[in-house]
Amino acid sequence: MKRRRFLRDAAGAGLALGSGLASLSAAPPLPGRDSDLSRVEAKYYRKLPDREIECLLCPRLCRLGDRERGYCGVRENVGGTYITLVYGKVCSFNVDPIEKKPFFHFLPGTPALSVATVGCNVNCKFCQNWEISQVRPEQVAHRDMSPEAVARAAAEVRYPSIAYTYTEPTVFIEYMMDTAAAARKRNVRSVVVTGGHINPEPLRDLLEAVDAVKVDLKGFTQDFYTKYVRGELRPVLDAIRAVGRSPAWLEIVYLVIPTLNDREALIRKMAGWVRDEVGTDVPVHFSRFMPMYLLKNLPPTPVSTLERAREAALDEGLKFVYVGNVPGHPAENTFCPGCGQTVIERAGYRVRETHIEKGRCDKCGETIAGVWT
Amino acid sequence: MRRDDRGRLDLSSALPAFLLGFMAASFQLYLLREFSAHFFGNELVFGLFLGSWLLWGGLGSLARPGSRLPPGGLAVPYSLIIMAFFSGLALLRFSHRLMGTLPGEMTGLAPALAFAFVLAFLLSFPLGHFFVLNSGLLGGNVPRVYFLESLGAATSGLLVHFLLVPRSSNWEGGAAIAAAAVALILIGLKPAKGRPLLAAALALSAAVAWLDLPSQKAAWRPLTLVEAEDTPYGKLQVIRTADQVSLLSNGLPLFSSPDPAGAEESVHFALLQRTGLRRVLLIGGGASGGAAEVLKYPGAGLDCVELDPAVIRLAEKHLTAEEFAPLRDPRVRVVIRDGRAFLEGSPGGYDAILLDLPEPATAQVNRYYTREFFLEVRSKLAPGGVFSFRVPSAENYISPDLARFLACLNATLRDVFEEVLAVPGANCVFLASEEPLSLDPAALAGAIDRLGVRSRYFSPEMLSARLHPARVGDLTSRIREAPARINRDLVPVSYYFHSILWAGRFSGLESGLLRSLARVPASRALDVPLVAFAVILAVLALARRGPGARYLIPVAGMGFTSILVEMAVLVAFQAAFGYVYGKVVLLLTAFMAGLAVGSGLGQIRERASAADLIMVQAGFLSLLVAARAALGTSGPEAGPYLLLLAFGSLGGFLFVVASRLHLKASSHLGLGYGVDLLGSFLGVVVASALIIPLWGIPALLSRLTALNALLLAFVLVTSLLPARKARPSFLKRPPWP
Repeated sequence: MKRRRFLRDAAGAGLALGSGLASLSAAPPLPGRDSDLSRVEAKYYRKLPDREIECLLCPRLCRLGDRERGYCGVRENVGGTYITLVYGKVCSFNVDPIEKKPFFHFLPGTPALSVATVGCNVNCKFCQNWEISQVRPEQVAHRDMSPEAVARAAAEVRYPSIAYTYTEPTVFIEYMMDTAAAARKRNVRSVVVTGGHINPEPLRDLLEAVDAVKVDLKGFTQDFYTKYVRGELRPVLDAIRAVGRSPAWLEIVYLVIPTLNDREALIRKMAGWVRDEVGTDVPVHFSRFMPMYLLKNLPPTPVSTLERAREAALDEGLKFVYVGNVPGHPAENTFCPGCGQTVIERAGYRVRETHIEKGRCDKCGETIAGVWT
Repeated sequence: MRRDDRGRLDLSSALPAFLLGFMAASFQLYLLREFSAHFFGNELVFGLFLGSWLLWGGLGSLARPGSRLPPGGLAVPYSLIIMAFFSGLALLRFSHRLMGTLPGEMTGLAPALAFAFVLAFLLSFPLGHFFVLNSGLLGGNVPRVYFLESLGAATSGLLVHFLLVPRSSNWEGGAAIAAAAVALILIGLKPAKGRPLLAAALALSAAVAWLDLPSQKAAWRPLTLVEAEDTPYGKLQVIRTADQVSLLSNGLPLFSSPDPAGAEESVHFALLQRTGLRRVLLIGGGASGGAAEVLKYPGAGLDCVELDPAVIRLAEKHLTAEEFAPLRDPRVRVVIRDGRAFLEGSPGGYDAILLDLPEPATAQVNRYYTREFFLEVRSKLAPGGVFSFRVPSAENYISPDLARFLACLNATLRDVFEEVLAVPGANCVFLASEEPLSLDPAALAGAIDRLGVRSRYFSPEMLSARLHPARVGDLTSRIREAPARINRDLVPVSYYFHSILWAGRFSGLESGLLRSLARVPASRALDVPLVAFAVILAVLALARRGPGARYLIPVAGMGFTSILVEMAVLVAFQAAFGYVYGKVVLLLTAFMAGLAVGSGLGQIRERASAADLIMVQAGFLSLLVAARAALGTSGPEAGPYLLLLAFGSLGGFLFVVASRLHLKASSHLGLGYGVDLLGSFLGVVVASALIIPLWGIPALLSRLTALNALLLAFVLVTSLLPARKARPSFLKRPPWP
């Protein structure tokens, strides 16, 4: 990938969003009213007596009475029928380099049309998109976009993928799966950026619809998940295992927060688990914590901490370990596990050069795991 | 001062009331400084604390009007209040542990309110009640207690400002005040009882001073605090994580080092706009890498201005020699001065002025983001010069609250500069100039090549991603379409919009409430209550109510007016002269000294009459008219001090006169004091958080003038209409000689 290709992509992205983003920003919508929300019946729930329901989407298993919403705030029990309030209600619509998700081994150097609706089923104190993940749909400006409209927007400008990202896409799983199906018909792939807090059955269905999943493994102890995420670690590990054993491509991000989840022993334990459960080819990104949301006043992660974490994970046998959120760091590059040559050179989410031919290092012929075309 | 039978000064009778003011003022000040540091002191939080303090103080002086001194005199309660003060300091220091949050984690208004209420209940409630006890001790001579208390407060203010704040931490200063109070009690009162408690308070003072740094280290775990320093400008704390150093001021990050991406972002978007840079001004941020980035431009000389010398000192001590080296470069001139004051005195001619300060979250910082400051910047730029600053934004969704905050800054810039651009991203970088600017990634990438600027983050690839036309267009349209108001020195609305953003992080009702208030016009918010107040006054006057209404309503009005004027003066003063944080104590001391002078003069008068009230009320009105006229003019720095001194004098005089008149018919010694504090409570809550930022100081002073005109009319009418005969009451028989 050369600079020329990147500039071509950027120009294409500009044209593409001329239609999409311009329609979003030409008449900025006001925060929604209740009547603006969708009324599409949700999947993954069971009806209970007295018009109660139990949500089966995520491990919280919210049990809801009439007119109550789940923890995510975007799924509501209306008279015993569970509905999703955000089907087709797009609050964020951008074009990003796929490296920004980050996917480093999935169509590198290409733009991804990125969409999100409101909502999340955990409550990370360090969320970087809290304005849309930690609020109710009524509080956020959104635009109606059918699954077909999103797929068409991507296909018309030849974006190879649509990313469901920014918030927690599993809470809008119905919309995501319908969009992914529409996109697949147009040869556009779908990638998911998720916290992995999802039950096995919906995940199984999702993995049939999408092509790649990046899971944010936010820590490696239940204590961390309890204190800083308000979620469960075990289901996330189960989800990673399930993705790793599916045809979908898997990458893992571990956000390193100084003193909270950065002990070397913990990093080694996590890396060992990845090696044993999903294999050494799965890319792991040690991402730099930047002060956000409720932890806005904490120091960012020292780069040396990330470098030590990377060394530890490589030492545990992982082949592709990256340092993230540190633009220009050499560990943004992909190195061939066979000869050590740089096979993909990156700079701040952008690909400068690739040395991969048909999935192999162009110098030594070693197979580089990933989805390259 | 009262003299005994032999004509000697009667210290033992005067000292308790003096000590009351001495301890109350300094304890409040130190707790407020600590409170600001632990709850990221914006004006909302500041108002909560001061409001709670005044409310509980008022309630304390209203409680149990017939109280008598406990056996053993005041030594025991004063010792206990010292211990309560230390408990308050410890409670604040470990507040995060009590809340189950991380040190540095943001907390909302509800926890801040809870802590403010608990602290004020612990301290201000008993202190308020001690006013009643002291009045009883002095035979019901409330004016004398008020005078002595004001004198004590003014004395402690001078002591804290000139001696303690420049040389000691908050805990050390508080401990010194407490130790001094214990010594004065022991020497001046020679108490027969309570000596063990006093000894314990003294020992605790020593322990608190010694435990300051260790307790901060303990509170910051699991992070590693390596050094802390309380300066006149805030609490500075150095946190080390591996090889990275972070400096925080009042709990808010000033910078982390190394942070090349942050330093590059704050400098290069602006400097890449022009070639042939000769002179650059950097306000803040020099120690965090900004200076090093500026020096990458060939031929560029840099003036680097920092307000607090301790920031440079701590940076030199904790950064590596390489990181600190740019500040020793011969091309760099480091100036320790308020950035705005420096700019006003500078001959100008800068090719670029870069502001690298925290966002306008408080009135203190807001003055770097106002129209008046931008005008000053424009006048000090060379032709075609560029001005730049950055504020936190959001990468993927510009919420209506964020859009309104950014729109306010954008509109203020546009009001001054011909060309204004905004760079999207997690931080929004604003660029402004009189000449065209560019966010064309190719042009900026070309400039990087041409100028030979070697950077880690600024690359053609990064520029293309960040300056994607769709992202730039989206941000621009969101900002332009949001309702925008101009941020001014005297109408600092930007920090109100920032308060909404801050409150939006928490699930309480505060953000909705703040949003709603932002939509209320000044005419409705300020004039409707004023009209309602006029009606109430008219009813009370015509109903010829007794002394309670006649004499205490002006006292409440005085409390309300005084605190609002204090707040307005603090904001206007810092806009005009800068560096107010270090002089808050001195300004408030001027007011306290005024109270002492006024109440002293009031005592000298043989008899109090309604004519005195009329005279004082007319004085308030004249001062308000003068203050309104002086707004925005460049008077001497002594002006605000004199204004507060005059307000305090009139307030002290009014309190003495009104109390005397009221006490002719009532034995409730704390009623006047309580009413004064409750009036102040109401004022501080509405002023700091709402009126000043939303509707501005000119609107505030106009309404205060109208309010005091109403009060003048009230005292005039009530002096002409005799009160109806009051019903008998147990309060009507004064028990004091």
